[in-house]
Amino acid sequence: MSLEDIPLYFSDYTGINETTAQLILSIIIIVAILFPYLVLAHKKPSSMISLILVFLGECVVLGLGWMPFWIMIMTICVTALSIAWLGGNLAGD
Amino acid sequence: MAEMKTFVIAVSFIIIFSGVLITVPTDLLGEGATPDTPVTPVNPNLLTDFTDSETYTQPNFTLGSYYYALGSYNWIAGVGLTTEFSLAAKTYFFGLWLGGYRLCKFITEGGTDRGTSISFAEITTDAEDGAVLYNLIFEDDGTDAGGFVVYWNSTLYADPADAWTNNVLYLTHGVGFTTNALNIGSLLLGLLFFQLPDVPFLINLLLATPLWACIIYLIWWFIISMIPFLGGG
Repeated sequence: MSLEDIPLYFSDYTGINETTAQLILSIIIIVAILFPYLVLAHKKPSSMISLILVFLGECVVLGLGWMPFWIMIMTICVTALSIAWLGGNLAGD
Repeated sequence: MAEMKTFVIAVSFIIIFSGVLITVPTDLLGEGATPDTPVTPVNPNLLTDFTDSETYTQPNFTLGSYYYALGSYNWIAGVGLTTEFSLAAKTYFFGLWLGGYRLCKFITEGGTDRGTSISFAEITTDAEDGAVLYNLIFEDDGTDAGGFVVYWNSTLYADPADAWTNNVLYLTHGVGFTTNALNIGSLLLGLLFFQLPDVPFLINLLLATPLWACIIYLIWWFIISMIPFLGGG
C-alpha cells in the first residue's frame, strides 16, 4: 500500500466516497501541521505564519495526490485578494 | 480616492496572484489534460507528459503512410513492407512541399539508438508491460522531435505484431515533452479561458472571476485616464 492509496482504503473502511475521504485526510494533515503552532502561540498567533503552515500542509497533501491542485490555486487567490485588499485600504486612508 | 483604492487592489491582486502562482513547483500542479486513449499504459505518465500528441493505429495508414500536423511541423508516419515504423517531418520551400523531409531517429530511454525505423523485434525488446517510449531526434541536426510511445494491451496480445494486425497497437507521437504537462503559462491561460484540466467549470469560473474583474477594471481605468490626455486636458 502506498501513501497515495490511503484515502481509497479509508473510504472503503468508512463507506464514504473517495473525494470526501481525501478531503477529510487532507484537513487532518493540515490541522496536524497548524495545531502545534496555534497552541504554542495561543496568546498572539501570527496570521502570516499560520498561512505559511497552511500552504506547507497543502503542498504535502497535493504532493501525496490527495487533493486537486485547484484547492491550492484557490488558496493563493484568496490570499492575494486579502493582501491586495489590505494594501488598497492603506492606500485609501 | 475610491478609484485609486480600487486601482491599487486590482494591480496588487494581479501581481501577488501571478507572483505566488509562479513560485508553486509545477509538479504540484497536476498532470494536465489526459489524452483520450483507449488503452492506458501501466505507466500513464508516458502519455500525459506531452503538451500535445497524436495517436494512431493501423487503419489510419493509407498506402503505408499517415499524415498529420503536430506542433510546428506536418508529419509523415510510415510503415514499411516488413512493418518497420518511421517518422519524418515535411520540409517546405517557400510554403511549398516539394517532397523533402527530415527523418527522425528513435532513441530508447536507456539511450540506445534504434536508427530511423523501429521493427516489432526492437519494440518487443524495448517494451515493458506493453509500452515503450522512444525519444525522437532529427537525424540531420540532432534536435528534439518529441517522443514516440508504442503501447498495446499486453494481456490480450503478448506480441505487438498481433496487436498491430488486430488494429489495437497504438502509436502516440507527442511533442512538448516535459516533466509535467501543465506549465504556468498554460495554467494561467486555462484559468482565464475556463479550460483548466480536471477542474469543474464552476470552480474555474470562481477562480477566474476576480482576475477578469481586475483586468477589466484596469482596462477601464486606463481608458478613462487617457481620455483627458487625448482631449488635450
